[in-house]
Amino acid sequence: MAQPFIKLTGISKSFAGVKALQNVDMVINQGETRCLAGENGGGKSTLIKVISGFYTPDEGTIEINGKVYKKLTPQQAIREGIQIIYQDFSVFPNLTVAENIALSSERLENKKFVNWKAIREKAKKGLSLVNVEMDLDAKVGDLSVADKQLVAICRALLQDAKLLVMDEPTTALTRKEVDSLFKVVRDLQKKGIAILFVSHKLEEVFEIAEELTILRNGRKVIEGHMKDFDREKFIYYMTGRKIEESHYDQPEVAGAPMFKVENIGIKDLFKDISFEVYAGEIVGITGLLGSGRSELARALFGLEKLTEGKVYLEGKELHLHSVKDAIDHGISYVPEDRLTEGLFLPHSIANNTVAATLDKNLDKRHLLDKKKIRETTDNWIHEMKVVTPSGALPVQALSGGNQQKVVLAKWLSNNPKVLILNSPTVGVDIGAKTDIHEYTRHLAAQGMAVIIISDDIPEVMQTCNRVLIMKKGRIVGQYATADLDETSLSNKLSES
Amino acid sequence: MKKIVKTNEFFVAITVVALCLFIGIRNPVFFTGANAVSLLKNSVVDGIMAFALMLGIIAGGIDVSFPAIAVCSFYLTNKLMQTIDFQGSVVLPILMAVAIGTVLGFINGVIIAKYNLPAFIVTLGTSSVFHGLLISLVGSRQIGRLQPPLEEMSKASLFTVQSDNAVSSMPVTFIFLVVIAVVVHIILKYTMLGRGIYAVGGDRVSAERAGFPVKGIQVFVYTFIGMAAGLAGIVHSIQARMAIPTDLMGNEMLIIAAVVLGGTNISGGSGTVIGTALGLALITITKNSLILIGIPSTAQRFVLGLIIVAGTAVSAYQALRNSRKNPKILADTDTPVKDVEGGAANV
Repeated sequence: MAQPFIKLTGISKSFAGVKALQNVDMVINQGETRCLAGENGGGKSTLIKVISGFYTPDEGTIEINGKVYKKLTPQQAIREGIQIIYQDFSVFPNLTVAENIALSSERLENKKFVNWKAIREKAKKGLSLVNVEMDLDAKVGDLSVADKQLVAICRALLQDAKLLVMDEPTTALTRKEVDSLFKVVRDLQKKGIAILFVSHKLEEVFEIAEELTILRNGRKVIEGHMKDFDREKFIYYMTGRKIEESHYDQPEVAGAPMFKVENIGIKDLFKDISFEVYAGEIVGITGLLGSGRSELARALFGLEKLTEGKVYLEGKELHLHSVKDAIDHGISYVPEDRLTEGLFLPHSIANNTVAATLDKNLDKRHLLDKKKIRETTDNWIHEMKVVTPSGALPVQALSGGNQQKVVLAKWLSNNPKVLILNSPTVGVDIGAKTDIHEYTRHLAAQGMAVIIISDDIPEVMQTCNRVLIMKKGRIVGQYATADLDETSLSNKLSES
Repeated sequence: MKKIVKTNEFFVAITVVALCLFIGIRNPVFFTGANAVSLLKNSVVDGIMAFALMLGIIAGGIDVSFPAIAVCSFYLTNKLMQTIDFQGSVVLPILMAVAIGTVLGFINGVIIAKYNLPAFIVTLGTSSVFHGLLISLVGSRQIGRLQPPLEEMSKASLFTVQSDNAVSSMPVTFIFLVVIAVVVHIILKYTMLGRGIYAVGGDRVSAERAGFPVKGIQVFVYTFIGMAAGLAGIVHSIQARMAIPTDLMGNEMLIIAAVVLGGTNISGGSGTVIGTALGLALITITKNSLILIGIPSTAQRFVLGLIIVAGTAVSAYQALRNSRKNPKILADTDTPVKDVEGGAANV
C-alpha cells in the first residue's frame, strides 16, 4: 500500500465572500499520478496555491509526510518537496539555461555566492534526470515552449521534488511534445515522484493519470480510479450536466461569399491562407498556441499588415491598412485578451459599449449624446443578458462572462457584416459560455459571417459549421464539423 | 568569437573606437596621454553614479534622484565641516557623505518596495523633496573654499602625464571609480544577490516564486545607488574644490543614457559593468572632446542628443530583431498542404 504524501482535509477558502473552495479533501500518495480536473473557475488554481503555501486556507489542515501544517508557507512547501510547474513556467527569459535550472536550488541551500562551475554541473545533472540535452549557455527566452517547460521541470527536480504539480502543462505543446512530456512524467513516476496533473483536456487526462479528482464550483464532486471513468462520466462530473453535443448546421449559402481571402500572408508568420465565409456561416479556425491563428485574426482586422494576398468583402477587394479601415467596412474583432485589448476596465459598461461607435452617439452639436448612450447601453444589456444592476457600473466589477458580453456588445453595435471572435470564451463560466455560443449562432442565422478562432475543441464543434486547421502558419485542413467528432478533430489538431 | 561579435558591448566598443578615430584624425591632441588622463578624470563622478544606477535598471527599476542625493551629501558635509572648522582626516567627511547618501537611498528603497510604487515617480518626488529641503533649510549659498583636509585631497594625484604642452594628473579619487566598478561587477556576477537582481528584472513574479527576497533586493539597490551618489557627491566637490548646491542637478538623464547606451535593457534584466563603462566612455568623450574638432560647446547638447537617440535606436532595433527571430511561426520547409476537403463552396 502506497504511503500518502500529502493529505488535505476540509480545505475551505473564500475571497471577499466568494467561496473558491469548500470543504475539499484530497490525498496524493507517493509516486502516484493524479489528475485534478475541473472547469475554469472551479477552484483548481486556488487549490494549487493552497498546496504550494501561497494561500492559507480559511479552514482545514494540510498533512505532508505525517506532519500537520495549519499554516503552510511557500518555503515550507518547497522544503517538503512540493514543486509547481506554472503555466507560464516561471522561468527567467534573460538568464541562461544553466542558471535557470540551478539557481533556485542554490538559493534553497542559502548560498550567498555563485559558483559558475557548480551551476553548470548542477544543470547537467538536472538535464540528465529527464534525459535531455540542451545548450547550457542559451538564453531561456530564445527556447521553444517545450524546452522552457523542460527547464522548469529540471529546476523543480533539483530541489528534491517529491510532488510535482503541473498546471495545464500541455496548453502550448504539439502532439509530439506532449508525447515526450508524458514520457518524462512516467520516468519521474518510476522514481517515486508523485505528479498532480491539472488539466481539463480529456484525452490527455485519460492517457496519463491513474487517479482523478474533479472540482466544480469549489467543491470536490468525485474522485476515483481513472479506469472507472469514461468520457461521458468525466464530462458529466466536470460540467454537472449532460452536454448535448449540438452542431451548427450548414446554412443555405447562395451567391458570392461575404468574406474571402486569397493567398494572404505575413512574412515569417503565415502564408498561403485562402478561405471564404458566406453570410450565415460560422467558420472556426483552430490550431495550437503559436500556430499563427492569432496573428491571422489580427491581420484580418488590420492590426497586422499583410505582406501578400488579397482580401475581399462582398466581392470587392479590401485594403486593410488600419483598424479604422476594417471598422469602416463592417468588420468587427473581439480580441483574445479582453482585459488588455478589449475593455477599459475602470470605465462604465456604457462607456465600453459605445467605445467603438462614438460617432453614432452624437447630438446635433457633434457632442456625445448621454441619453442616446444610455439607451444604446440598456438595449445591449438586455439583448446580451448582461447581469448587472446598471450600465454605470465599472466593467471590472463584472464576472468574466459578463465582461465578454460587453466586449461583444461593443463590436456588435457597429452592425458588422463580418464578426471575428478570437478565443471568445477563455476564462468564461459555463453559463455565460452557452449564452455567447447561442448568441453567436443567432447572429449568423441573421446573415452575419462569423469567424471563430479557438483551440477549445468542443466550442468549435458546437458553434461552427466548418473548421479550418492551422499549423505552423498554414492551413492544413478544412472540414465540415458534421463530418467530425471531438476526438478526431483533437487528433488532427495535435498530430505533428 | 561569433558570440562576442553578437554582444551589445561589441557594438558600443566599435562606436567608441570609431568616435575616437574620427576625433583623433581631425585633431591629434586627442590621442595624447594627457587627454586620456583628463577624460578619465572627468568620468569619475558620472561613472560612480552610472555603475550604481545600472544595478537599479537591471532590477527593473530606475532612479532619477541620485543627483539630488549627491548634492545633499556633499553640501551638508561641507557645511558641517566648515561650521566646526574641521581639520582631521579626510576619511571622516567622505564617510559622512556616504552615510547621508545611504540613508536617503534607503528611504527611496523602502518607499518603492514597501508600497510597491513606481520607482520613477517616487524618485522624481524624493529628488525634489531632498533638494528642496536642502536649499530651504541648510542654505543655497555656495561654499567657495573647502576645509584644508578636503582641499589637500583635491591636490593629491596618483600620477601625472605630460605631453607636449599639456599636463594632466590623475586624481586619487579615480580609485573610488575603480572600486565601485569592481564591487558592482562582483555583486552582479558572483553573488546570489546579484543574480537575484537579474532575476527580479527578468521576471518579478518568477523571482518571488523562486524564493528571492524581491523587496529586500529592491531596498538594496536603491540604498546602494544612494550610497554611491553620496560618494560621487563628495568626490565632485573635492574635484571642483567648492560646494555649489545647484551642481549635478539635471545630470540624471545623461547618466541614464550612458547606462542604456552600454546595453543595459531599460526595462530590466540585462546589463554589464563593461557595457556601462563603454557607454560612459561614449558620453564622456562626446561631452569633453567635441571642442577638439571645433564643435562649439553650445552645440554639444545637440550632438549628445543625437548620439543618445541613435545609440538607443540601434539597441532597440537589435532587441526587436531578436524578438522577431523567436516567434517565427511559418515552417521553413514548404510542406505541401494536405487533407483539404469539404469547403463550403463544394459542399
